[in-house]
Amino acid sequence: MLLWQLKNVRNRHLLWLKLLACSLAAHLLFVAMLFFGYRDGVSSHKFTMHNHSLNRQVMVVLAPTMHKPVANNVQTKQMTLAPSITSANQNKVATRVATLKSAVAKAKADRPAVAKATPVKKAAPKAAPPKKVIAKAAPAKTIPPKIVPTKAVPTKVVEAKIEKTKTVPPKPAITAQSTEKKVEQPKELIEQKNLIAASPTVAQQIMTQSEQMILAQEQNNGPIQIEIPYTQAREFYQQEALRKELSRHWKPPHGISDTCSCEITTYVGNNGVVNDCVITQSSGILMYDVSARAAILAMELPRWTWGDSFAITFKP
Amino acid sequence: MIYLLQLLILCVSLPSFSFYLKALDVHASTHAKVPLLIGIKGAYDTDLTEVGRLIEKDLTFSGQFAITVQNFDNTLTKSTIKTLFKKAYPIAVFLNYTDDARNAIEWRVYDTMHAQMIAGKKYTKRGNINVGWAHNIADTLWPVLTGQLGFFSTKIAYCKAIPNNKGTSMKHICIADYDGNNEQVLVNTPTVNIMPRWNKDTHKPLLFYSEYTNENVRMVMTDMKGNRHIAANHDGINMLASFSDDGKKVVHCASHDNGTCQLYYQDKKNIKRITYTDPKTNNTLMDGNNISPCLSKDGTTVYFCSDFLTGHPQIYSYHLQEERLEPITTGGYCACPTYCPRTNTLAYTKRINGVMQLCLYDIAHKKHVQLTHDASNKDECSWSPCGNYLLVAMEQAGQNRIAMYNLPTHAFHYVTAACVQCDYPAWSQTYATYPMVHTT
Repeated sequence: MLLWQLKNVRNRHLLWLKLLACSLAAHLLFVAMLFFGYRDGVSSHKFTMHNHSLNRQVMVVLAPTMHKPVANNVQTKQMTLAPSITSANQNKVATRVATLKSAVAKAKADRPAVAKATPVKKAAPKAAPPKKVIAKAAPAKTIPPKIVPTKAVPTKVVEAKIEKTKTVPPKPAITAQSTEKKVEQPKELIEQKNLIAASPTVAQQIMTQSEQMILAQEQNNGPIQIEIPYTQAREFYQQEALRKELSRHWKPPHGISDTCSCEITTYVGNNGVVNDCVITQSSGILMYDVSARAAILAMELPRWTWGDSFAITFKP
Repeated sequence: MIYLLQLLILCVSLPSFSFYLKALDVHASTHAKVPLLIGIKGAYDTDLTEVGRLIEKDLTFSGQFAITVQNFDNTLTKSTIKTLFKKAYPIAVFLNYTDDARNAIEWRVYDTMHAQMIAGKKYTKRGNINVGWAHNIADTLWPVLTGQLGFFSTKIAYCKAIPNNKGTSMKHICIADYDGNNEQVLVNTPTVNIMPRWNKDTHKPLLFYSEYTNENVRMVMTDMKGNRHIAANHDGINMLASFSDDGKKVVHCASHDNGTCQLYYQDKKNIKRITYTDPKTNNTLMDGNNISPCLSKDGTTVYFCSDFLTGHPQIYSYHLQEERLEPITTGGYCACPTYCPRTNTLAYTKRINGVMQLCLYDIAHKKHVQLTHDASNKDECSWSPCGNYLLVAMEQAGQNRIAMYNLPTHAFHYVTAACVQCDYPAWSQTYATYPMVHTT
């Protein structure tokens, strides 16, 4: 650092240093402008819509780091849901899954309309040393409770896992007493912690949940898991709101082919009124395009779309 | 160096601006009709207004549009069209005569939101009646609006039982519009005429049917003027001709007084009986009755019904070039296959819980779907040219009626009245000129 003192720096180097600093400052300013100005003003969002029925619940697993979206198969589910499980436990889970699969098959044969996977909770395998599990399971980032979905029960379990890892120091086991002590926390949190307290360890919790997930996928009735990074959560909920609003208004006519799709770009004014609605990619079926456009025009546009433009692809 | 640093910072900062493509599932809770306005432009004209009304009737038939007909001045401005959007008509169709002679009608489809013309065409009148003009125009409009083939300039043929003085009944062959309107008797000979089948020529419609005589059941061909010619007159029965799309290949049933009904394939060069021996059982097609043949689009495959293997009627496909037989159904009582070249599917009837139900077979994916579940027996189905409708002979409580099954909506629409006994329906191609019966 001594070398960088003003007296030791030559004039030529000082000039370069000043230029560098100016350039850096200008660039940061430009980036900041781009971030605040470009994003809210000119950006266009793209969504894809399907009109087939979605009966299953959507569960969001918030991942602290960037993850790829999880495919709907059992193996990846194990990997993403319980990253902290040791190899020994993974084997246990694998065997557990095999037995569960056969149980599900049996249950399907006996009673075709199986709805819940709750009976499996009891049959959760013994956990690995909890200290290890917690240390690995606990993500470094803290996750605010706002973005945690509260609809589905399994979602709560996942939230509880994350919340627990955030607030509780790494202890060998979490008991009901330890959660009762923290009275000043919100009710939601206490409920979540009680959920955890009901199960012996976090590891067991994770394993039970993974089993539930696998069972749910097997039965095809349970929640769909979508794993998204924390940074994308807001976009996810924005899209969910848009989806719900659109599904309320979209009434396509009968007899539309499964293969057709159309893209509609909507330009929304700063007051939330649709300035223009352009069919950028027609399906070739006028009545379909028009019904999709009518849905956009009829819906109440969410606040985040004001002064913005977005493109929606409608697919049957 | 500085620029490199800047580039590095920019690269790091870029991901924060990336937007992720999400697939959202939207459940369309209900279906709704699309509002459409038919505008008649120019001075009031009875014919054109009538054409507009008939087009409205055609387009409303599918249940996809809610249509209003309105008269407009000759001058139509953009603002007028945009006003229609505010009145909740996103699509408008305008009709007008193009010349003073009134030989041609022009139609234009507009997107009213932007007052932008989507499509337009000039139709020169074909035939003498406005029903035909309206059907022809509706046929050209339909693909623009729905992406489907038009089926309005088609005809359906069916048998109608007419009681005679002896206490028995004769069967006449009638033809009508796709919706059962404008019924006309085409064949009224004092005998039993059954199983009509259309040829595939879109300019010259011909109807093949089987006529009972004292010696045999012969196949007769007739045109729309009532000119009849004998097509096949062998001993026994001769019936159910089915043509390939090009009209150059035909397959039909004949017994040749052998006791069983066999399939005969005919092209320009030769005529041959379709033969096959099952390698497992050594049963041949001659061991059973083979009926209801229909040719595939290219004329290389014959779909038919036979009981030669199991003793119960089953659906088979026979590949003419490879001389290979493939069973489509393997159990139950399955009959009356009919092939749709547009969707590459086969519709047939199957007895399920004692009731003949409509079933669908996807040839590409080899999947069967049961279409109907009600208590009436369905027999003898026929596809519409667009592949969205099935014409079915329905029997319930001793009543035989022709009904139309709408595949997208799964709804039935009766074509014939309840007081008459009708069966053996057959749906024609979409004709360039609306055919009318002109018997002398």
